[in-house]
Amino acid sequence: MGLFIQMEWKQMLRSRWMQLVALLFVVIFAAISLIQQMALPVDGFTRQMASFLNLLLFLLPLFTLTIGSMSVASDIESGWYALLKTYPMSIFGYLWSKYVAIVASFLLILLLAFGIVLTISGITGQMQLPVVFIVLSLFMVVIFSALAVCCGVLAKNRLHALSLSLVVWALCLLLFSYVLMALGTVVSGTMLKYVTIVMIHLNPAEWLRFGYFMFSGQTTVLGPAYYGFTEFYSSFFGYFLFVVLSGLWVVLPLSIANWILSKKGRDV
Amino acid sequence: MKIRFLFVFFLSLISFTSIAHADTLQQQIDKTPAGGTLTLFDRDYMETAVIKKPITIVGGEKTVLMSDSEKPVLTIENTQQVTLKGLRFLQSTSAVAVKKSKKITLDQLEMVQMFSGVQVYDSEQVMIKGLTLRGLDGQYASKGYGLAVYRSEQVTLQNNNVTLVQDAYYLEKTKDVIVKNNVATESRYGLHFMYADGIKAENNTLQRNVTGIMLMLAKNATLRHNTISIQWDWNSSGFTLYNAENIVAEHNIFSGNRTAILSQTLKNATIRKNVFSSNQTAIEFTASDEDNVVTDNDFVGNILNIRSDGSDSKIHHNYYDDYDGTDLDEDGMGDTKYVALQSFGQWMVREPAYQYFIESPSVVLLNRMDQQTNKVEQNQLVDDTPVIKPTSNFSERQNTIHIVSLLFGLLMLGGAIYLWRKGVRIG
Repeated sequence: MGLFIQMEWKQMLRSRWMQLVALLFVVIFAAISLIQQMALPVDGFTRQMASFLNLLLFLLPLFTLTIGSMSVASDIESGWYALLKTYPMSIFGYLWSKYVAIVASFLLILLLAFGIVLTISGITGQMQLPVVFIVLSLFMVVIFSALAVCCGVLAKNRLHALSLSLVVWALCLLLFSYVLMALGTVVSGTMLKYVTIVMIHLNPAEWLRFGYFMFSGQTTVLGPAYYGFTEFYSSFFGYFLFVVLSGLWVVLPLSIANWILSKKGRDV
Repeated sequence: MKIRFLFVFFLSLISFTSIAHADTLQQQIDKTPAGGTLTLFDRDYMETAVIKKPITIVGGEKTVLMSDSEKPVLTIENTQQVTLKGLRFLQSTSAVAVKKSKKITLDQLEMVQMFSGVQVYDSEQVMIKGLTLRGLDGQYASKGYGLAVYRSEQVTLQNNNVTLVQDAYYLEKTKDVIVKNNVATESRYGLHFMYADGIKAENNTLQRNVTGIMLMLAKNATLRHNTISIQWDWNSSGFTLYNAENIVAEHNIFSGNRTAILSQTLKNATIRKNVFSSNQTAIEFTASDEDNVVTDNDFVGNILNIRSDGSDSKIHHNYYDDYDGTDLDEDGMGDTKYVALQSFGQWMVREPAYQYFIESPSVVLLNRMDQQTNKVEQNQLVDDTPVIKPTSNFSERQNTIHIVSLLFGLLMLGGAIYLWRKGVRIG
């Protein structure tokens, strides 16, 4: 399996897509860190911080989902997966290897991008890379790579995988929120609060956004309506639960992918 | 004979001194003639005392006043021209109470681990300056007020520093009050005015309180040159102006607050020449009066600049860093109006549960759409004359090389490039 992971990783790094994504990330992160030199020296959830967070939330899941899912769909579409089945490797072994390769590739991109940010920060003397952003990015790659594998397995071909990924991305980043906001116009504030709390757990993008507020100690940004909820997650048990639920966001998509692939295994 | 005389003299001197030294604080006060000055010994006084005559009491270098009573350590009542200077109070319920008195000066008092500091009732011409007070740790409910003034006139609070109390400076039913160059931190309210008339709050620094200045049912107030930063807790705000009228807030700096100015049923207020930077919401109006004016302010890096529940105010000639208009005629003002109105901002005012979505990716897109559709807005939260350049100078940063960051960055960069090259290598 180790050899397969290494091979997959090499293939991902050689992919033009991946190289373009790496370039894009480096340029964007460098630009942000330069722009942030103009930001006012104020702690807390400022507009600059919000922009940085949104950029991460927009871009990282988008590229992880599309590239990861297309990589898996490509294996199935091209017959590479059918060939692999002749080798003594389980379905889960294959999925796990793909997952690790995707995660490792994106972590390498992040390493490159954060390296650029820190270098620029060092030269300009303005330290603008909070540790919580690094941790959040790691969580994002780990969770959305699992979802990407699931999307790839669900798709019939690469184009299908791309469209599926975009749907998942749009749902997580935009549509769920708009549905909730629309719901707020017909239900009471208390009901809206409860539905929002449920949706935070069901939407990985919101889950990670909430994680940012939690780990940066800025849960007060979310307003007093969520006092009880944020107090619970700010405890030791809350942190533990956050890690466990984040783990579930990895295990569940991979398990579903495993189940789907073993069900349609005879056909591919 | 001479030696015997000297011996007797010194003996009597020592005995006299030790007797005086053993006097209680009250006895010392009583022995001092009206208008006289009493300098306290360098010792601990564990008692309470009442002052009923004009007197100046000065603390020694090591004088400490404290009491385990519920009463204040010193009570000044029904008198005038009393000055307390350089006294140190420790671990007591309350330090000084001033009742029905005139021309009282409290100068350079120090209070440590106190439930509350000074209370002034029904008095006139009171000056409290250079006082430092550190309250207790714990919940606000278990703390008292720092400096509290009730039903008094011509009160000046100046150069005081109060921390860890419920309300640092509390003024109720006061008239002609000047509060300047004070510091209030880590308290519930920095300055709290109730039913006050004729207030001047200038050059105060209010930081990390729940609310910087709370103005309730007050009128004729000037809040000027104050620095209000990091009021960042649940429901926090820089200023809360509730049911207040004839208020001028000018030349203040609001930075990093949950809401810089939170107003409800505010009448005839002028908010001008302030700097609002990196606040979650700069100004929030609820049930606002049409005569409230927001002018010549700088709005920089706030998530929401101005929001309201739909009530209107006059907004003009401000600088907004998110204004995307042009100034083709170069008159210093934008050619198109600035619309601060955002649907999401209004939703948050009406339903607090919406706050979860603040500046989320979906809301950012929504706001962009709003900016296009709200261009037809004519009245509500519209600035017809937005200025192009800020009036304040924001370029105070100095750049120096950060070695640790640079080394880590280069290490990460080198590591990433090495791994990538190794990864793509064939074989």
